[in-house]
Order: sequence, then structure tokens, then C-alpha cells
Amino acid sequence: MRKHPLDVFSLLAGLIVLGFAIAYLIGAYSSYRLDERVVLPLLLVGLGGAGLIVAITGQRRAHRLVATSDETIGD
Amino acid sequence: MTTQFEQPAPPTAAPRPLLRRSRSDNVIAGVCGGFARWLAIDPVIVRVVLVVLAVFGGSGLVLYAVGWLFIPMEGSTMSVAEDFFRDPRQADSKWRTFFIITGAVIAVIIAGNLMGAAFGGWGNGGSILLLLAAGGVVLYLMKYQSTGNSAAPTAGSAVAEQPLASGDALAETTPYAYGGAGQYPGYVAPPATAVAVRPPRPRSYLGLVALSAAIVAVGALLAAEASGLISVPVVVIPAVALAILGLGILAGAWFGRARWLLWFAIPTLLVTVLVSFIPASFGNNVQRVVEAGIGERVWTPTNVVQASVPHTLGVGSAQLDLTTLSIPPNATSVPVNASVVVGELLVTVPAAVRVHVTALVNTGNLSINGVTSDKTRNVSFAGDLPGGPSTGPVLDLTLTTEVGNLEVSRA
Repeated sequence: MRKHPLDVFSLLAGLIVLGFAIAYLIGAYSSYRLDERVVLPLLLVGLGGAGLIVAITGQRRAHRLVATSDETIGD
Repeated sequence: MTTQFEQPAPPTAAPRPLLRRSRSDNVIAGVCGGFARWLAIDPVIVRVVLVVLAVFGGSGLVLYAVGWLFIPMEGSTMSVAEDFFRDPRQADSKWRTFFIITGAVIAVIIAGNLMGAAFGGWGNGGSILLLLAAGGVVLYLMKYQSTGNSAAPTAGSAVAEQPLASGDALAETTPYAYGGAGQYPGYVAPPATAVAVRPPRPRSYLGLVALSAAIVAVGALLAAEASGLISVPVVVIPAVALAILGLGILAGAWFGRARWLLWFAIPTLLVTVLVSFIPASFGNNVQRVVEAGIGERVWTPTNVVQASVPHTLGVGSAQLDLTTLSIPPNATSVPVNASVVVGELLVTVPAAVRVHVTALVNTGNLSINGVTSDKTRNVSFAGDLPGGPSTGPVLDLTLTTEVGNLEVSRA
């Protein structure tokens, strides 16, 4: 598999999922307990935030492409 | 001989573009970009309005889904819905997509209601939040589906819109007042509007590798646990699968594509949360349930001999009424042991007897003389029950509930 430009959504979503897994694995062997009431809010905020970031960066990228094409046409 | 020229009619204003989903300005499926272009406004405005509608009531999500389904992609005349029902090719993949989405929506609704039932305060709000989040993930993942579905018109359909390749085509077809065709002096060809077509992405096996590894890991752990090779807490099994899926998604940030693993990661997380409620003594509890039975019990011991027998129930509701218990005056301590694995245990003690309580609730509520603990995990109490004498024979209670409620009160 070739390396491609950073996929921010996959990065954030992967970190969130991996974070939950590590929290439960730690809790299985220690006295730490992840409060189940924060799982859903963290998941929503995390994935929603990742989607927002991608949306904003995608918007900026689209604007840069339009600006570049406008400059090319104007030359 | 002179030739009279009439002033050519000024070029008319560009016709309003058809409502199409945008290929160039798309974050998910190009609905907002296409709608904004149709209205000739900034796409950010459309996106903000849609997000607000999605957060307050969820209608924004529905509107976006409707737009994705019924607005054709730029360069095509058939929408996803039309293509879905008319195109006999790839019927299996489309039905698979339809059922996956439908199943995911139903699963999210059910999960949301389960969460609401488990945690009280979520209720319909939790279901809506879950639906919004899942819908957002679904729509974002469908970005790739929409690119393939409406990439080209199918055979027998209407001729697809042809983008303007150059100004020559416009000049040749535009009639002018002086007759004929061709460019008039000073004519400036409009800029070429090339329709950007996304090239097909190379196939990626990263997601399949991660999913397969997670399945193998779960199977191996279950086999090792069953054969007695290892002994791990039950929550470790889904947590390991969740970790592998998370690593796969994370690796997809740099190599290949594995976003679709979220379809499996979210249900796996839900399973992990539910399994985490199972206490470490699950195996022993299963045996206790089998031995102690299921149903309702009412225990009313009247003498010390009856009270000394352990009172155990596997699953159900149990009442231990000690108000009719006759305590010998020369007795210093009367031990009473009662436990319910899954369910409810209600203990009523005499008002004028000294009572010492040692209570433990692994998951649930513990109420001592009307005062309920705020905690719901590993809740314990050890001490004298308020409201009774401080001297005399002691009714020594040892009470346990693994999953459920335990209540001790005076008559």
C-alpha cells in the first residue's frame, strides 16, 4: 500500500476507537473504571469533531482550487 | 453595394444551472455545494443552515439524505434513487448497500433506546443524538458510494449532460443577428468548464486485514479461555477486537483506506460497554443462578435455625422479612445471609432490634433505611443500621446482589 496524504478523519476516528479499547483493557486489570456515561458523549463529540475538521479543511481546499483555476484562466 | 450590419444582440445572461450535486465542491456527497451553486450563494451558508437544522430536530440530516438520493450528480441526469431502481447491473451491491444502511439505522435506534433504558436520562434525546452521529458517519462514508453510483449514465437512459469543451461550441450554436455562425469581432470565449471526474481509487486491503485480525483474535481468546489455557476478564475479548479495529482505522490515515471499519468498531464498542457490566465472578454466578433458581422468593424465617440457612436466588425478586424472627434473649448475634445474583433483594428488619449490615452491590443501587447510594458500581455498606438500639442481640446481615437493587429498611 502506498502512502497517501494524511486522512484526518481516519486519524481522529482511529485514535478515539483505540483510546476506548485501551481504557477498557486497563480497567480489566486495575481498579480504573471508565464511566459508561461518558462513552457515548465522547464518541459523538470525537466523530462529530473529526467530521467538522474534515468539512472545514475540505472547504478551504475547494476554495484554493477555485482560486488557482481562476488565476490560470485570467493569465 | 453596401452591407448593412445590425448590432448583434448582446449575449444573454448565462442560464441558471440545473440543480446538481457538485463534484468539485463536495465534502460528503456534494449536496450543499450543488445547492449553493444553483442558488448562486456561498456554500458555507448552506452548510451552516444544514448543520443547525441537523442539530435542532435532525431535519437537516433528512434533507441532506433526500438531496443525496434525488439530486443527480454533476454530469449525470439520473439520481441515486433513479439509478438504484432502474439499473439492473450491480443490483446485488445496491441491495447490499440498502440493507446495510437500513440495518445500521435500525441498530442505532435500538442501541439508542437501550442506552436510554440503561441510563435513564437519555431516552429519546439519546436516540436522536445516536441517530445524528450515525447518520453523519453514514453520509460521510457514502461519499465514496455516491462517486461510483452516479459516475456515468446507464445504457438506455437519457443522454448525459455534456460539459462545454470550449468557446467554439458556444459560438457555433449561437445564432447572431447578422446571420450565419461564427465568432463576431471581440468575442471572448468563455472559460472552459471542465467537469472534474475523480479517478477510481486503488483497492485497499487494509480494512479487510484489520477486520480479519480482529475476528481471529476474538476466536483465539475464546478458544484459549474455553480450554483453560488462559483466564482473562470477559471484557478483554471485545476490547482486544476494538483495539485491532482502532489500529486499522488509524493506519488508514496514512496507508490504504479503512474508514468502513467504523461500521464494525461502533457495535464492538457497544458490546464492550455492555460486557464491562459483567462482574469478574461471572462464571461462579452462572453456577449460582443454576443452583439457586429463577423467580420470586419470600423468606420469613421465624427462628434462628431457619434464619441461619443461606437464602439465595439466581434471577428474580426476593423479599427477606425478619420482622417475625424470634431472637433468643441470650443470643449475642444472629447471622443471616441472603443474596440475589440478578434481580432485587428487599430486606425488612424489626424496628427495635440492633442490626449490623454488611451489604455489597456489584452493579445496581443500594438503599439503606431509605437512603440510596449515588454510586452504582461496587457499592458497599458496613455498619449498624440506624434507628435501632445500640445494645442487645445483634442481627448480623450479610447481603449481596451482583446485578440489581438491594434495599434494607426497618419495619
